[in-house]
Amino acid sequence: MLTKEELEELVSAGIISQEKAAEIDAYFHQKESERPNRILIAFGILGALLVGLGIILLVAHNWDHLSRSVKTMIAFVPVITSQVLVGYALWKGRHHRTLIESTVVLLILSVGACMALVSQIYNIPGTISTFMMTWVLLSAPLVYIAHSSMASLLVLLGITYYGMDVGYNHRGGQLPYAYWGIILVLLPYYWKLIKDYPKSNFTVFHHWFFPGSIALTLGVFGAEQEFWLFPAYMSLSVICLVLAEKVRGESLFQNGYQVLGFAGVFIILLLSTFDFFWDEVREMDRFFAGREFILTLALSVLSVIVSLLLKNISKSSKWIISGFLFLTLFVFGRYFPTIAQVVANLAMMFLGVFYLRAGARTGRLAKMNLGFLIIMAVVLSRFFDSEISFVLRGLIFVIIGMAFFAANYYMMKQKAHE
Amino acid sequence: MNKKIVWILFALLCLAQWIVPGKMIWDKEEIIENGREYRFLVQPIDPSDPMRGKYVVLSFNPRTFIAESEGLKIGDPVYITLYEDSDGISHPFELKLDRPDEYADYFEAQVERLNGGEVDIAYPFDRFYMEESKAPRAEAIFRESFSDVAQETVAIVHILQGKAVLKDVQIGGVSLAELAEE
Repeated sequence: MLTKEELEELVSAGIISQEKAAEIDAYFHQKESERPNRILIAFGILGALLVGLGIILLVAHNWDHLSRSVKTMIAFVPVITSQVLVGYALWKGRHHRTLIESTVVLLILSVGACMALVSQIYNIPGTISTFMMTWVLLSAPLVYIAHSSMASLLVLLGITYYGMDVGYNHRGGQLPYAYWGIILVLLPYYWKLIKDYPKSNFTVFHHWFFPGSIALTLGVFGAEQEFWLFPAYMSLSVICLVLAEKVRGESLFQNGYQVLGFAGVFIILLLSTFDFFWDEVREMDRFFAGREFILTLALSVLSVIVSLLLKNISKSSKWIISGFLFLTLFVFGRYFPTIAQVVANLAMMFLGVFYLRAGARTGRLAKMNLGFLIIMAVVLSRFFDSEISFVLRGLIFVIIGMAFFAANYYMMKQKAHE
Repeated sequence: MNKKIVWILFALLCLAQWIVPGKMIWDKEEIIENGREYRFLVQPIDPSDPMRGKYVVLSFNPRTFIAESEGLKIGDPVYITLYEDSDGISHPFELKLDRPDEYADYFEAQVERLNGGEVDIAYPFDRFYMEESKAPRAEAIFRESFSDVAQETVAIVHILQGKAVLKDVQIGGVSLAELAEE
């Protein structure tokens, strides 16, 4: 947006006319007033969440002295009230974000409360996953009907709960197909959000919720060949990092993909520096088999496809290559576990030194300390599976600790100096 | 999206949000209204945790049935036939894979665990919801009743074509909710 002074400068320089300047000014004013007030939206949603959760708690009290018919009627009161409110919000128009988002939250929670109350009245034992699925199906259309980001986020939460409950707790090894179905249904909305409001807080939340949900649910693929899940998660992390190159927020908070992707790479690589990891790989009954193996291959290919689609192969090639290198290492480790373990340790150390150097060069403390963190994690881990004397361990730690202090002190001094 | 379509879709969604819970109510009311009443003995359960949240977990015997379990999966529906003793108490008798004819006394259950020729089932009426304030008292009463041989704890269940609704839990003929109120 141009300031008043800048506009006047343009007028006096003869670039635009006085009328045009007034038009531009009016345009920006109009735009400003259309932009929803973030704090208002946040409080609106918070209020709706509190009221909705309050209704659920009131329902949980289970009013014994009310008759069955009264209780069933009461169950519908919050639903109908919220439906009227959402209807009113829709009638007022899409740009009333606060009204739409908060009433949608209220409606979704009321629907849940209603079903919970009916379950109580009739002592229905049903599993939580069936309950969740019904709730999600009754809420998901609001994402598109009301263009509601809160609906999308709540549905994501619900479906993640469902996916994990079905995948990990029940019916040994059954895949929660419905989970992937709902994820696919939500994707177009997410895509539109990225395109239309790339900087909105709602979009940022989606950048966390989407990869977070998939990361939590991917493990349900684990069956007989569970160890293949590690390279699968590595590929998922690579996909996150490829996407992170596209999202590129101003802060880490705005880029959930970067944080989650990096955390994934870090954790899996660290695990692969342990000898138990490669012992397990060596002892797998069959190797190139199982749905986990296919999943790993599919995700590895997907990382390339995603990068091609986003046209950022040059920027993200380092992550994709790393992903395939890890996959190669995993296969190699099946036959030469010791060498693979050494390579993993070296790779981790390399990563640590790389960030340390990059941080020191550009004067970015966070990057440098990340490097330290990685090196310390490797060193600390090696103390678990080796028989080094306590004296030596102690000395190594003192040295690394001192280097850590010295480097930070030096950098801060440099910064102050500048 | 066209405004008209949005309104139609919204109206349909609202309708669905009434119909789904409404259907749950309708089905259960029909069972309570037209189903036959059965009385089951509630078995003593782990006294350390008979209450989970605001409901009492009921346990019935037997949980395990000997049956041809080939092709069965966890979560599959199975049918438990019943016989009534001279005291009017119903007892689970046999596990059937096919639905018995509609005049038979039976209820539908789900397979919970499979172990060779043994099938563990989940009873579809093993939860009794209570008002929050009554829950702790109900728990104590529930426990006491098991040490008192003269007092039978009975679950009153309505069943219609295999579908069951738990209506009440009674100790010595008095509802648990009433006992907890005193």
